[in-house]
Amino acid sequence: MMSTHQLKLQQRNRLASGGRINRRKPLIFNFDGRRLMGYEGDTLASALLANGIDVVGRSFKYGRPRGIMTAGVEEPNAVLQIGSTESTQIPNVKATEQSLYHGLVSSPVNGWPSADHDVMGLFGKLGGALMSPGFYYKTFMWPKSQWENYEKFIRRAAGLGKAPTKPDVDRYDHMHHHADVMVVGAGPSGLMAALQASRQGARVLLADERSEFGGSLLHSLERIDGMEPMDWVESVVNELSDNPKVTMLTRATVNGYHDHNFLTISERRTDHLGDTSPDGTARHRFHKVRAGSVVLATGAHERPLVFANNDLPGCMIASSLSHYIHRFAVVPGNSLVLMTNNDSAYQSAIDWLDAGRKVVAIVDTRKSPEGRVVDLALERGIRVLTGSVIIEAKGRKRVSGAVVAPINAQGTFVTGDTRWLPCDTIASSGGWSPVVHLSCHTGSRPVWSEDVLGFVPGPTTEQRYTAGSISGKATVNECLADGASQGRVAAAAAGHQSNDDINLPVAASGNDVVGDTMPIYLVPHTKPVSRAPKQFVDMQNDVTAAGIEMTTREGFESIEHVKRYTALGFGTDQGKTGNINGMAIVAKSLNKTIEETGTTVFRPNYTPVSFGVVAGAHTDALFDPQRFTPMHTWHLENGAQFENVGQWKRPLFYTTTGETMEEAIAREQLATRNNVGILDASTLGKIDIQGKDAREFLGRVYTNAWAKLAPGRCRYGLMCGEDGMVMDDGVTSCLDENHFLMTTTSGGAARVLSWLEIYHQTEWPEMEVYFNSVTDQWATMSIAGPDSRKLLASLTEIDLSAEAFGFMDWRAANVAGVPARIFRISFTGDLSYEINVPAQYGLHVWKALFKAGAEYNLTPYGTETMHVLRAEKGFIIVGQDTDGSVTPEDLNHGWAVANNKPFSFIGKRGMNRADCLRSDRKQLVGLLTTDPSVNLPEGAQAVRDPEQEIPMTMVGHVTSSYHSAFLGRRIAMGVIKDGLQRMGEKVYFPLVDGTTVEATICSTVFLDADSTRQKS
Amino acid sequence: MSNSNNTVIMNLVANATATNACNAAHTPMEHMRDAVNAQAKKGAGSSVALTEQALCGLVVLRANDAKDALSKVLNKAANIHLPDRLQSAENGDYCARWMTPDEWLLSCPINQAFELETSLRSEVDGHIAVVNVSGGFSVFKLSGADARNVLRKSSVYDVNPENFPEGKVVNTLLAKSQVTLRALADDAFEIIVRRSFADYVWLWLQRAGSEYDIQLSLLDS
Repeated sequence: MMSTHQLKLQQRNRLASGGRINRRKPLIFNFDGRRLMGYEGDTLASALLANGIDVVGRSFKYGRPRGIMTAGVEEPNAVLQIGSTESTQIPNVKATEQSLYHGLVSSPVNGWPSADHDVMGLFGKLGGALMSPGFYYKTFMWPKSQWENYEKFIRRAAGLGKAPTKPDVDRYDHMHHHADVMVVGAGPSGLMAALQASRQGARVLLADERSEFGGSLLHSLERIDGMEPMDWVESVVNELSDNPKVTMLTRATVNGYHDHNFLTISERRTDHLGDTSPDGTARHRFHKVRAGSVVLATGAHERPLVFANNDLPGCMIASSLSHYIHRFAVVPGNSLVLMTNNDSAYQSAIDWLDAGRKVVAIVDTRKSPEGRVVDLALERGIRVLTGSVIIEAKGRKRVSGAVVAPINAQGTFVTGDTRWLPCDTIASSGGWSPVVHLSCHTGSRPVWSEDVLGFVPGPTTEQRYTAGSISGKATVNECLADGASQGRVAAAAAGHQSNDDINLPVAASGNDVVGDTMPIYLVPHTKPVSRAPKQFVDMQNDVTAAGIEMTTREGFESIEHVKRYTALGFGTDQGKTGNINGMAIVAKSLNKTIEETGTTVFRPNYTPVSFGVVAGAHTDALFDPQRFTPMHTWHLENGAQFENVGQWKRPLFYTTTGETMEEAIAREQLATRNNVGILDASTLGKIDIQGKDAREFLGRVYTNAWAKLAPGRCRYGLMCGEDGMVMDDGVTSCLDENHFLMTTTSGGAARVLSWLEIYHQTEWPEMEVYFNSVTDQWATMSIAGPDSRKLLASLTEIDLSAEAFGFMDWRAANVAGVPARIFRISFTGDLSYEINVPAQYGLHVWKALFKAGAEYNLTPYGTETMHVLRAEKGFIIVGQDTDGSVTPEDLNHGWAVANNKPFSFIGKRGMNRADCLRSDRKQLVGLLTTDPSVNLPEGAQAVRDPEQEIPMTMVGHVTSSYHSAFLGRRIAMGVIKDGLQRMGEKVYFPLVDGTTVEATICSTVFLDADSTRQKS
Repeated sequence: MSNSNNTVIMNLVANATATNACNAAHTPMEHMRDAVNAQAKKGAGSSVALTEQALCGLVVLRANDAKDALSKVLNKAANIHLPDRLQSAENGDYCARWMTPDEWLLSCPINQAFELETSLRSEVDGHIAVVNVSGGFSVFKLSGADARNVLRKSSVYDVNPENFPEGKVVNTLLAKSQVTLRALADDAFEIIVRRSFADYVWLWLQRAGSEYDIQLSLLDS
């Protein structure tokens, strides 16, 4: 294994000094099985370039070797897999975005079986002509049945990264912000906008995707106000951080710009520290920002020129050279030929030369460039070939030379002999594309600017401003001034005006005289486009100029169709380098202008985000609130198995001895029927209703009558929707003449309260009544069984005799020394009391009941036993025995409908529609299987004639089915057409296993039909 | 049925005389108390603290036209008026929080809740509702230099000081639970949550505060 010193020497492209890296912090990392070294402050890309790694992957379609092309998020090629363990695998990481950390493990995502011996490379060589645009549509779609097989092969071979197969070990979270001004991008424009807005007193949020602020100043030599550019940045950051109303985020990509100035930011908090978050804090944080004004200072991406073999490793974007040299002290080559159609790229050649490497030539597409930097280059002795282009790069796995030729003034054809310039690096600049992605997210279409030779943000309905090179500003001074003035208006629009003079810094710019950019995108070759070596437009999707031309020949004219047919602009880079060139080629082959051709637009996210950051902390136990009753700890200690009822955790049954669920619920049933059982019913919805119109209101929302319910009495109520279908039920008690307590189903509590409020607020606002949820206020325990009276008597002083405290009465009393309401109501059909105490006393009373109940074998039962016991007595469960299409009559609950109430009630008209009055509707009946032990599955469909040919006539289905331990047989309920008129008839249930179960229609009341038990 | 005097008494639940003395009352966080308090006493690194407050009396007040009358009686009993929109009115152990245009949440010493409920209902002439919900909620206090950041991680509401100054009350979502949030000071907040959601909100805040080394404490009830 190589020593640290040897690893250091491996960095043959690292300059001896300079860069914003920490040379005292060497970091060892791994790429494609090789150990390499970089420094703190490096990106993975800069470290790979420092080590002279040319090939970082294979291309998607043709398998061609690809190298690092840019220094930012626009990177199309350097897309890697990183992660050292199975649970920390991250596919499709851009090496240019990923900060280097010690121990980083990376590998190419494309290239199978390996990057050097690539199956697809061969395929690409042989199949260059075969793999035309729409290749997949044309070839692999036939025969259709084989597509799945083709896809597996293509995906494996093309490589789209690998998802982790184990759970993510990291944490993620969210944070909300409210800002007067949100500034996106912290280059010279964004910094000035934030500074100005903050000076006007605005609350400012400033976010930038890079690890430090500065934007283009990170690789600039331009002094500002006499300071080194990054010293000036530091002074601004210092002023901003002293202001408590300013929040600054680095490594934070504003990924979405949504309606009403709502923006989402993905902050990578620990990706620069290691595979996993080292201190257990959030690895990524999703910031959700509501801003008064938004200033987009997102800058511009330099686009390459399109020439033959322009995808060879060693072909780079011009400005990325300066970026690597100044920010990372890395010169990614030895001898450079640089092609440009504008002034800005000259600086890269000068920086290259100053780094001690050779500049073979600057190839300028313009006949007579006039900018000040041209003079600077010439003064340094750099050869400048004007009116010329690089028509083709030569080389196999790295550039070895450039073929240069003169062109006509329009840049449409080659006018003279070619010449060969040996070099290992070709940089190109085709001008700057404003980063309009975020502005597009809100539906604003970008507009073409002939001045900028790019799309700039279009009109918007948002309070949005743009500053700097996103608006086509070219020099640092212009950007500083634009940032300050946009920051000023943005703050003013958000309510922070100022008339003070703007204190504007000045850059000592050498670029103040800027020559015009020449509109050229595809560089001509001596051969026609279709015959020339591949001229790549979109590297990530292997879209070539010839492919785009063929697409238009095939009749695709809409830019949106061209995009989808060729895949131009798809992928993780979303065409940040290739889109404009592609549109220009489409425009040219259609004989249109770029403006006429138009552009595709962008939607969130600007760059890929992790699933984790979207989920945030809403995972595992915090995924959804879990609601607990006051007695929950007792349930836990006593073997409860829980089920979810809405968000509540309710005991399903209790077991401590290893018995099965069937055994447990049989035991619970028998103990309750023979002695006494207890159910935690705290989850029942409870609504306190007060006001002089409370009684009348109940009469309108329930189907039955409430006029005569006296204080101290309780009544069962059915609630219907306007359609006359049952939506909830429960017992409501009269606490006082104008005061009632309504109970609802556990899952229906919130819906019923809303229902009452909606009717009160919209239909009957004149009624004097208030509704308040008291679900959480009361702990509710229901004791049931023949011994329940004796048990309760031991804990309360009031007279529990049937004469003094009858069925459907309630009484206030002390139970176990605390104030309680006792309701003599029953959901089991047995003698039963429902004890309500303020929730803080629930556990105390529950335990007191068990202490006193030992002599009666007091047995806790869960919801499963509750279901069986209620079914024995024919009590319905709304949502189980009903499905939203069941009227009270269908349930044989006509007794609970009072059609003669003076005011109508909700559902009255609905349930009296002709269809609801049919006698052959599906009606709730009991079902007894001929074989008492056979299970009639819930949901099983009923037929009258089991011999009928399929499709059989189905007449209903099973809604509830249980084994009743007390009755010693299976019982069931179901809805059967005309069932109430067919008591005693047989129905049949053909099951999926081919058997048929025979059952007899009967009453739903299987036990104690005259109610002597519950009234005893 | 008994006479109407009795029914009036019946629908009110008196606090047990032994409330303060007996250990019959339990808060929803009690099952965590030993574990939480055992790992408490963190070092100086903590910049936020979460405390479960002792049980207090909580009474919901509802009124529209009778608001002034209700306010007058409340003032007599507790020396506070019903506060306006998004405000609170505090006097010692008594605090009224504006909840909705016709609703307030009044907190008081727990042994005063029954008396307040009785007197407000009997002394106000007009259409009001008074509901004793002392057992239905949990009250947390979140305090410290990073308390606002914990709220930012938990709630969509704008908790910047210029929008959420001392005394302001809002009903909002904390993670996925509804809560009543009140600014007690520049760096201290009261969170009132429905009892059954208390565990969820506590665990959420505990996690949101972990990066600030949150200090947790559960009071003896």
